[in-house]
Amino acid sequence: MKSRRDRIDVIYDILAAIEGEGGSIKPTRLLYKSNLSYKLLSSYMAELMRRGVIREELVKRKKVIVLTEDGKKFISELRKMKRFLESFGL
Amino acid sequence: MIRLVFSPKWFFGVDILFEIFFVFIALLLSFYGYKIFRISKNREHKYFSLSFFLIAISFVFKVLTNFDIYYNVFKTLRVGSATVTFSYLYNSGMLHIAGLFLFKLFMTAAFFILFLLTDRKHSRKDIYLILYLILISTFFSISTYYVFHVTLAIILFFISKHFFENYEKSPKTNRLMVFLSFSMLFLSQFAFMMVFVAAEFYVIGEIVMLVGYSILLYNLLAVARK
Repeated sequence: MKSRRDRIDVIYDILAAIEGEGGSIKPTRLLYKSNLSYKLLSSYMAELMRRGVIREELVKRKKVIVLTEDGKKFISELRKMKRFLESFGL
Repeated sequence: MIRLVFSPKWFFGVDILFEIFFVFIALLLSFYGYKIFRISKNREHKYFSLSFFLIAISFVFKVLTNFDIYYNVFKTLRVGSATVTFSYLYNSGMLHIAGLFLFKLFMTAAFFILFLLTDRKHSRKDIYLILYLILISTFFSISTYYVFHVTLAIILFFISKHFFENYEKSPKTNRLMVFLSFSMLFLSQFAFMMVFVAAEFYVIGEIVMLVGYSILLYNLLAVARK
């Protein structure tokens, strides 16, 4: 068993958390569900936004993180990658 | 005098086609591994990609060498020399020897990297020592045919063992596929060791290897389809 999550696991967990909440999530809830520090989550989110996988939106004047269409494709791709790595025990 | 050709004559060309197929599969796995590495930035994934890239390169050397031997050297030697045993080449075959040396070196290095990925309990010192032994065993395998296949069989045994343990931890089809494919590659080495008994063992070895690489391709496609 792997002792700690690698980047693929972390990115997958972030996106799965958003997907699990119906495609949009409040930043505080995401922080809780991703099990990361604020600083680390911010850096991952910045990267995912650059990739166009997630975006920030204002809903009733409150910031939410939304999974984009590319994000849905990306999470499905990550699932395949994780399954592939798992088959080799990596 | 070094024997370079082990295939029965009727199998000439077919083995080259098989090996082109192996190059294709190894490149696909290497590309997918690299795609994963670009996201994960995990060194293990980079080395995984590198190992399959080395397997592809290794087969490219074997294909080029065998192609030249089968279709150029044999034709030349055949002219007016009906009594010559064509399976044997003399000093003129230095390029072929170099080709086969590179095939063996890259192949052993590739599986050694995979072995290191599956066995995480090694120090840098162990790696240098094993790299030296690989170089030595590859060098001597040019004149002693068995050495290469024995070395590969040992490495593949430990890799297969790891994949079996990986399957045992959580019995899933994709894990079983990887275990089966590497077991096939392991078993193929025994067939290659038997070529001195009968040349047909070379054919058996190639077919077992074809099954092994095909299972790896099937696993990749099955994962990509879901």
